[in-house]
Amino acid sequence: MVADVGTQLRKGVVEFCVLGLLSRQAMYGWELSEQLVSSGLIASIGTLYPMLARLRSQGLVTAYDEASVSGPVRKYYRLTALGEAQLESFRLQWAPFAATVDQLVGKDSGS
Amino acid sequence: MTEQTSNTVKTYLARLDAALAGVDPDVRLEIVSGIREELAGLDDDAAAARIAEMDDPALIAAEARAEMPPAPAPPVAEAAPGRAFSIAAVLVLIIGTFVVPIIGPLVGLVWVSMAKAWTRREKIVAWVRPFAAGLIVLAISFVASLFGQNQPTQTNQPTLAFAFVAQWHFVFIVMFIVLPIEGIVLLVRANKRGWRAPSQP
Repeated sequence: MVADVGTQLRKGVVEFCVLGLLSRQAMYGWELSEQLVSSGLIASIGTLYPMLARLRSQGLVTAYDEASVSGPVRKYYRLTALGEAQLESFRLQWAPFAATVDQLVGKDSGS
Repeated sequence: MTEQTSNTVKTYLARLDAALAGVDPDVRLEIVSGIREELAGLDDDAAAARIAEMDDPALIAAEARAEMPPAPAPPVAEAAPGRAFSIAAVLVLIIGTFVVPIIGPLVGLVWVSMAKAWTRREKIVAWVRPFAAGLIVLAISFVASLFGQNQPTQTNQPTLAFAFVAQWHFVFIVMFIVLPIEGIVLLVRANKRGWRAPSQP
């Protein structure tokens, strides 16, 4: 259980990280995947699409096709109003949560 | 849309699609489409270079599978409530008829009535059938004896007395045949439907 702390932590927050990325701008799958892989949040694009399917089924994300300037028609993902609300709720909870955990597990947390 | 897809891309996408076998069809299509978008318009060399940076299809497929919700477990064949009691009831009915006459089948029928493997109708029939069979046999014997009494003589009196006793023995013998058969019918029927009574209206 303790052995895979990183994986457990990533699993807990990665969907909100996707919502966070999409709140800035609509993105296509590969673009999202690159960002998340480089941040160490997912291992490959194989992880991303099932997650996007879940977020879409929950009504947090929606997709649309758009022709790119230099390439083919791509499927872009963007946040819905519900997704925005969900992200805002996460933001409100994350900071105090992280602070509490930090206080409890930090080296200087006292005896 | 008129761009030609390079062979390198076609091969990679075919490998990817094959590796994704068993993944949710929508997700499978999205992954392949997403990567096809990324490789679209590239010539063989550029595509090969781009693919070299990509993950192996088997890894992508494994990640996709790991991310999918687990398939719903097949319903566990949980034992029907009171299954052991139902089996005991029907065995007491069958074996009890021979081992402890009268009391054995009586207990068996009471247990069958309490068990959950049969409907109320089946339970009522289980009670009525042996008595009905006994009554029918008794009625037939009675009618037959009436014909015998039409010519009462001194000589046939012992025969009539014997016939009266034989009638009752015959009734009990019939019941001892009917009860075990009834028990076997109940056992087979309950076993076929997993020892659960079908829902009653």
